[in-house]
Parts: sequence; structure tokens; C-alpha cells
Amino acid sequence: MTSLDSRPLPTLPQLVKTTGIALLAAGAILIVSVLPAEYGIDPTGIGKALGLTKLSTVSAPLEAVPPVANAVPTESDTGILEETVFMNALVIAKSSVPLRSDAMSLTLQPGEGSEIKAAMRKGQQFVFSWAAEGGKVNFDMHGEAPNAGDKFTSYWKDVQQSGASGTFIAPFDGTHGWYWRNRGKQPVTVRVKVSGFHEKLFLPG
Amino acid sequence: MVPPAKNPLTSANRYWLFSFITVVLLGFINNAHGHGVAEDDKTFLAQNVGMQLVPFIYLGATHMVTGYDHLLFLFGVIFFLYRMREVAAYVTLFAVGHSVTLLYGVLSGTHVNPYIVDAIIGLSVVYKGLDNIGAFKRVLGFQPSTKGAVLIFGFFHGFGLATKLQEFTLSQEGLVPNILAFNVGVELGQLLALSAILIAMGFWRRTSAFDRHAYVANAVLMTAGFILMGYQITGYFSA
Repeated sequence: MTSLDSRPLPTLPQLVKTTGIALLAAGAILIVSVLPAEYGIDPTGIGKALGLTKLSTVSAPLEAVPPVANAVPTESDTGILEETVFMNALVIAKSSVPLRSDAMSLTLQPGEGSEIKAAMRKGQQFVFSWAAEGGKVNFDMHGEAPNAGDKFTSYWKDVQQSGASGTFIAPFDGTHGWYWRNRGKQPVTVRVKVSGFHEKLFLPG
Repeated sequence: MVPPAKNPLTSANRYWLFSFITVVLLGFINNAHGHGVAEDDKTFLAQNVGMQLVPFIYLGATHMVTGYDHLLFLFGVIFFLYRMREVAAYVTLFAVGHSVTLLYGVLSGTHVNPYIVDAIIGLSVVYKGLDNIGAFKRVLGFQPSTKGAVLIFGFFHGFGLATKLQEFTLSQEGLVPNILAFNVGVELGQLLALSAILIAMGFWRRTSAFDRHAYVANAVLMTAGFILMGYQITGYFSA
């Protein structure tokens, strides 16, 4: 069928050697160039020496970004705000996804707990605000990566609150949102408002 | 050493050679992206509403032509195929395989982890490299169905294509025709890329050194597959 049939087969040691060399070469290339350039993982330091780690800083976690506070906007003669420090890269997170605003609410009976989540990609952001009516709730703002099982990452936890607001930046692809529990004796309604570049807001089944 | 050039470039050959160079240049201009769809295309996909056949055909085609993981596999598949009929049979199987899962994945909303799928696509490249050097025949004592392997790995390549499209919030309006158009584009891109590979392989096979090169070339193919796997597996654990 193919001319493979007419070809002498390599011996087993030859195959093992070939596969071994292929694996070693792949491993070396990965460690020296691919991983430093793609993920900033650079165990040998060679990637940095070659300048490859710079390629991965675009998607580096936001914690690595220096604080913006020391850059003071001043007003110039033209009346246009001018930054004293070059900081475009720090104050702008460009989005190719349309802006959306969602509102959602749920009612928790005494002792009950439930979630509202947003599907987001790493780096996407939203501004949020939620308020509890009828009582106070405990909450845990957290997120899960897809297929992570029971594993989740907690961002903000507190007890006996009637609301919270802020800006959220997804640290990884997955679902991010809130879990509330009503420890009081009356039903509580929690209303959430979210505006940003998330993909959707939903009640997890 | 160098075999005499029996048939100089016919006009048909010249045409294909020219298309090949054009495709390669287009690939570079388009800023080859084996993974994901380029930033501008993302904006287009996010803003698009309704049926947009030609843009989706174009996206599918550029994704295939610049998607080195699919091309490496295709290269391995046709490495030892000399007859056009065999090439056509294998490529059809690959196309059927990836179309099924591309359409199924997007239309049913099945989300497969892209890192896992892309790691399996890397594995398909390793498999084909090993297959070509006769490793399975030597180790197992028989040749596992090459057509079966192409079809099965075709399914995984399709899921890979599906995850690329699913990175976007696709408009529900005109969803089915758009995805079909994307699929048509993928097949067109595959034909273009395949023509390029076949022409290059044709020249290579004419050289007397081809037999010696073949073993090394497939070892290199295997290496590339391992790199793709390592890249995706690391992504899975670090993301």
C-alpha cells in the first residue's frame, strides 16, 4: 500500500535510540525556548539570556505590574491630561469582546447557600456590586478553572455583610463569582450588578 | 549524484510552485498562529452578527494554512504516499474526521479542554512519525491500520478546531451556516497546504538522498510532536 512495506524495518534498539533522541531534543527545545517564550517558565535562565521571556510578559499575571499610584496625572496648558510617567500599558486593558452589563438576583432561605457566576477568560475584567436585602449574608468570592473538579480559588471572603463592590480581573480562564450563605432567620434576596467583558453571568446548576 | 532532471518544470508545475510560494508568503504575512485565532480576527468574530459566509471561509482557510499542528500531521500522513488516489483517500478520511467533531463540538456546545486536545494533536504527530519509521510494525509485529489512525486523530483535530471557534461568543444568528462556512474554509486551506506539501515532497523524492532523509525527517517530525505535547501539557498545568 505504502512504500513503507518495501522498506527494511529498523531494529528495536535503533527505534529506542531514535525515540530517545527525539524526546531529549524536544525536552531541550521546550526548556530553553518554548516554555520561556510562551509561559515565562525558565528553569535554566537561558530563555532570559536570549530575551525570550519578554515574549511571555504580555500575558504575565497583573501582580507583576508595578503600582500605578506613583504616576500622577497633571493638567497641561492645553487642558489635556498628561501622565508624568509612561503608563499606557498599565492603565489600559484592551478588550476585543463587547461590553456587557448584567443583573441577577437570588433569594436565600434561612440556612441556604447559592452561587452566581460569570464565565471569563484570563485577564477579562468587570466592575461589580451586590447588595443583600432582608438581612446579612456570608460570602466567598471565588473562581474555578474548567474541569478543576472541587478545586477553587478564593478571592474575598467575609461574614455578615449587606453588600460589596469592586473591580475584578480574572486570574485564569474559568468561572468566577460569589457564593452566599444566609445564616439569619429571614429570607434574604441578593442582587448583583456586573458590567465588563465577561462572557456571561449565570446561576450554576 | 544528482539525478538528471527528466521533466523540466511544465507550466502546470510552475503554476503549483507559484501557488506554493504565495501560500507560504501569505502564511508569514498572516503571522502564523498554530494556536488560536489572530487578534484582529477575534474582534471580527466578536462583532459579527448574522450570516457572514466569506469571512468565515477565509478564517477557516487561514487557520488551517497557518496551523502548524495540523500541517505537521498532514505532512506525516502523506509522507510515503505516492499516488494521488491514495493521497485523496487519506485526506478525505482526515477531512471527514475533523469535520464531524468540529461541527458536533460547536453545535452541541461541547467544551473540551483546549490544552488536552492540542496535546493529543501533538501526540498524533508523534504517532505518525513513529508509524512512518516502522516502529509499530517492529514492536507490535503488524502494521496498525493507517487509515483508522488518520480518522481517529482526525476526530481530535476537529475538536481542536472547535475549541478555537468556541473561544468567542459567536452570534446565534446564522450560527450554522457560519460554522459550515468555517469548515469549508478549513478544507480549502487544507487543499492549498496539501498542494504545497506535495510539490515540495515531489522535488524531495526525486533526489537520491530521499531514502536516507526519510528516517531522519520522521524522527524530526516526532520531535516536533513531542514539543507540541510538552507545550500544551505545560499550559494545562500552569494555566
